[in-house]
Amino acid sequence: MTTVAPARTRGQVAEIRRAAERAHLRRRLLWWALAYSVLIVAGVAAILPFLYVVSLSLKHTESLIEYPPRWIPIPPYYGNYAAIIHHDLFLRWFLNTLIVASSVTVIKLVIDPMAGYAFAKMDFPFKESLFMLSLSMLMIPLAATLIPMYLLVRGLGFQNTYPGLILPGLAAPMGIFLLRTFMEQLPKDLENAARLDGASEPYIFARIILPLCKPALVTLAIFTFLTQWVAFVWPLVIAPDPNMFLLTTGLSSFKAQYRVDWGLVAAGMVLVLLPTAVAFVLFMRQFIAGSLAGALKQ
Amino acid sequence: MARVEIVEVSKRYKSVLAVNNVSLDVRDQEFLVLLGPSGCGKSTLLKMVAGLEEITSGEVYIDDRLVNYVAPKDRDVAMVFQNYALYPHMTVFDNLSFPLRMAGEKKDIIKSKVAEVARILGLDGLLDRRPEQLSGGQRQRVALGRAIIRQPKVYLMDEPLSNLDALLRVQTREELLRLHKRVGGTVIYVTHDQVEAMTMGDRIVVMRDGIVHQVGEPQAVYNQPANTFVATFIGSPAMSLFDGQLQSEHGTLVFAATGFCIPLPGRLRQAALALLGGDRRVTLGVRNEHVQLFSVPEPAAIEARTLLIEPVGSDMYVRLAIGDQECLARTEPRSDLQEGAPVWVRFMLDKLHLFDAAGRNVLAPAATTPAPTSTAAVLA
Repeated sequence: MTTVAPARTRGQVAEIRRAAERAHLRRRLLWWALAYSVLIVAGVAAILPFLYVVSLSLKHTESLIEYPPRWIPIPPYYGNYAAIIHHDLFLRWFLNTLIVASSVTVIKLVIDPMAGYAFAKMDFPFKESLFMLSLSMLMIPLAATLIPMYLLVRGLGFQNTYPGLILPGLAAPMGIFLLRTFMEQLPKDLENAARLDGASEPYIFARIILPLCKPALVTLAIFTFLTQWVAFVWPLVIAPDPNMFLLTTGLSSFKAQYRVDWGLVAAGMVLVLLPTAVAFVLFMRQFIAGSLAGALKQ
Repeated sequence: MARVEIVEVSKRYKSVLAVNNVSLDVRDQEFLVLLGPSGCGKSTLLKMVAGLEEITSGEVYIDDRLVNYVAPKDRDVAMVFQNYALYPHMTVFDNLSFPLRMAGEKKDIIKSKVAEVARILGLDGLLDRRPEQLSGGQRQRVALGRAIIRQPKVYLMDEPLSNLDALLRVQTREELLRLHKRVGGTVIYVTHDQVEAMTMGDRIVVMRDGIVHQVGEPQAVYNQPANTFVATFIGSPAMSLFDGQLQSEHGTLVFAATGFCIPLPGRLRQAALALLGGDRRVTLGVRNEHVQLFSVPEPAAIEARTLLIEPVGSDMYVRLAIGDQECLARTEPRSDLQEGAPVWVRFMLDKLHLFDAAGRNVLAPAATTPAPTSTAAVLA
């Protein structure tokens, strides 16, 4: 004999649903609490050093050693910033940095897409080997190539010159890798359609493919500009003349001159990082889109 | 005049022979369909005609002009791609006018031609939109418009309907045919959908593994498939095939399989006689509409068992077990058949197909008909 379970009343069904919802909500709240705790700790750990530097930059040198330390200087001391800005060569360093970072960025935005297009869309002998060779440069640390590069650039007569600061920066393969990956995903039929319609290869590259690579190009521009803006080792080696210092190398020279005035150094660091922070915030969306390019199916 | 001749064309990618010694003659104004499963080489063949793939060996002529070394833009062909290949950063107007701009056409002529093509294809109000703002059917029409605006000699279409939903595909198929009648031109159309091929083509070319298995008018290919591959590829549901042997019984040639035998009709007997001296293994083919079902024993009917009944509205498909093999029958909806119950089957003898041990139709000329699994090329 088959027994049939008695049907539940509407009230019972509602109570069961409410209990299930409460249990579900409790589990979700627990996970949210855990996740946000981790995120808050990570976020604080990431931003704290920068906030400390800002705090340091707004303090007079004598107040750096007071105890207990004050996180928020009241009143704030702007003398460090004034000293930096009125430094003889600060404007010169700022211009040097702007020229080098902008030049490398602009030139790489011209040559890297062309190289990426060749590797992505064209067929030629030893294509894969050449690509792997250029990619292998990523694995070689700067320390290993510093001396030979210095000898090469000095031999060309580019020590203490803008070409000496700019040219090595053009060889970084990250842009080629990024654009090749991006362009590989563009349907081949787009170029085929353009070829059949009478477009030349340069036209296809410049007017069909390149406009579709905007996210990758913006990423490359931001990445290159930021890298060059905060570059330190190479400018230190190739441009010892104070007139050819960049902001980073100029800042490091304060140690020798002022017996490590930390407030001054901190103010300098904030001024160096401020433009990069502003640029990142302004172009964050495009940067993320470009970084994710290739992760999602078109 | 826009005749296309493909003469012994092959395409090799390292160790893979994608197209194997194919020869085809496409007549002027003809709508030729290349049909076959994915990877059979039909799209590669199309791209070789377009000049988008290099030809490993062989020649392609367009209007008696050898085009092997002619750039795609100079062959006077236009192509419609499977994924439309519309330029996403350009408007519909810019997409349609692109070929004319590349040809250096004057602005006022471009404007008038775009307007005319837009009117023909129903794109009038969409000229300022970008492809992302269009539906699938609209994008497909823009892709078509970009092809016809150039008025080329030859249209090459690579599965242009495959990205559309079923209903839109049927509508667009009819529109394409009407457009072909209106605009004219020679069309080479690639598809894996045999319904498209049967309804659209003046002739269809059935391909597999890079070789051509049969060329002919759709109904001819349906009625007289060259081999078992074509027999099962064309027609939906596929033709039922039975493996068996030729036997001579009391002076009559019969097809004998486990559990049943069928006397061969006159038109197959002559061709089958030639096989008696050699390999007697044959395959009998019958289309589902040529299978008659009876719920009671009938003269000359074979006893079978009903495995599955699938009603599909106006028809009913019945899967049967005959001996140790299966076949499919199509009948009108009826209530006297039951799954698992015995049923009596009679084949229309004049509609039977017989294939030799290699899978070739015994009525097809052996010299030019490839076996279903052949990798040897054939002259079409």
